[in-house]
Amino acid sequence: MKLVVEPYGEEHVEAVRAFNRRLSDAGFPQKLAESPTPKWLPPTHGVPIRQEYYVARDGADVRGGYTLKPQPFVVRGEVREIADYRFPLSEGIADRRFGMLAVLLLKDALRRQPLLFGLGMGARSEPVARLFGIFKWSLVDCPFFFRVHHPRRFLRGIVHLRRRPARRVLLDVLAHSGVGWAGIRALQSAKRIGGGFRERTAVREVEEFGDWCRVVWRDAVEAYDLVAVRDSPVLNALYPPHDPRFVRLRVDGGTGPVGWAVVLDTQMQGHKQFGDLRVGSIVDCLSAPGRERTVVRQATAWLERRGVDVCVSNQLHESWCAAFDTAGWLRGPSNFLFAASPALAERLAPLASRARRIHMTRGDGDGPIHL
Amino acid sequence: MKGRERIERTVLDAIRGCLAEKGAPRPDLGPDTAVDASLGLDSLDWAAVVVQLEGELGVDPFASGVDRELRTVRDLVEVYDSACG
Repeated sequence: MKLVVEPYGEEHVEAVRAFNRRLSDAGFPQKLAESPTPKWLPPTHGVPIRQEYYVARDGADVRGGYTLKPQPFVVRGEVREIADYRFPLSEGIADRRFGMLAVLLLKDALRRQPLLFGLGMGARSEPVARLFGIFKWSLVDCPFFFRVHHPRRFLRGIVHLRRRPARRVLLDVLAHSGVGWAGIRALQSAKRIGGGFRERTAVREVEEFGDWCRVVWRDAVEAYDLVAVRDSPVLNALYPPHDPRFVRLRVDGGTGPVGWAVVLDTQMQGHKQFGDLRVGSIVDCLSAPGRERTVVRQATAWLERRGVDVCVSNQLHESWCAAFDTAGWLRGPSNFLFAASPALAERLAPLASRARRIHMTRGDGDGPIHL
Repeated sequence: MKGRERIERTVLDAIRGCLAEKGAPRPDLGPDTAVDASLGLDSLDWAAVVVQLEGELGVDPFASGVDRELRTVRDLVEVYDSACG
């Protein structure tokens, strides 16, 4: 085994197909992309965010690969390119001859870009999170928030909470008796602080991010120790105007734009956690300091007017967490992690206290997959 | 003890330690042992071995890429020996 990790090119496609077949034959559904050009975020002139594919070649065979998503971030006031380390896949999962490959892939990524992070990962017990832990990456939980709009449908449909028979019975009783409805409403109301909006604000759907979002970015950036650059070229690449899944909400105050949110309204079908619920998600958001709650409440109201059963979001920054807390959202167990490479963690030291000044949303990672 | 001998012993000790933690000690482990499926280490085990070797030998040979075959423990020792200079 003499492994060479290199950028994925057309010459690797056949070997990648063979790799995917070997994994499939061994019972693993994971795959490497069978094209070297990413469908989402391909390298594009003038767009500072992209995906790069790398493969590990063993002679004529491909034995694994990974993806980098480099993009500009502001790290404590300084613009730096930082990359998301995504979808590492090694034949070691099926064949222990290649057990060392996961290490080589991660080391290769760090060699190309020492300022790396991982996002999502599922749980600390997942192999990637454990690998990060072994290599002394810093792991931080990104709180999970949810808000139930249709309590009865939620209680009857939330697969994640209905796995045990006894709990299913309890949730059915709560749903049919109205106690669940009353309880959820009471909990959410108790957390909601303040009545109507203090000033006239308005939310509207926009087809793309225009120059107006530069105002929001300029006002917001100093509030964060780590935040991805969120200007119109980046946002229109992340959330392409032609993609019907993304809804871009612009929130205006009395004097102009104060923030925005990207939301999804997804009718689930047999989802492993949400079953057949209609799920609204606040995927990404930004606002001028102090206007976070306005954005959360406007986005929530917009999703609820559309008829979603439940809204969900993951957030890390303290102001956004406080905004969700005080906008009537509840916290649930989070399986969404932020992992910083040692070099990135050093720039954010002490990470334990600075983590709450990091802005991370689902939009910073894999995008809104599964939602 | 010469540098290379020390590296070999450190590599063997790291692998033995990892195997012992998994409850699969290998008393016959030596330089010619293949670092393949027969050894019984998975990706996370190798990660732990590499981190331990980085700590004990003070070098990270993988940081600049490794352009050689890794078939046996001896190959791994060579990699660390080259990195130690």
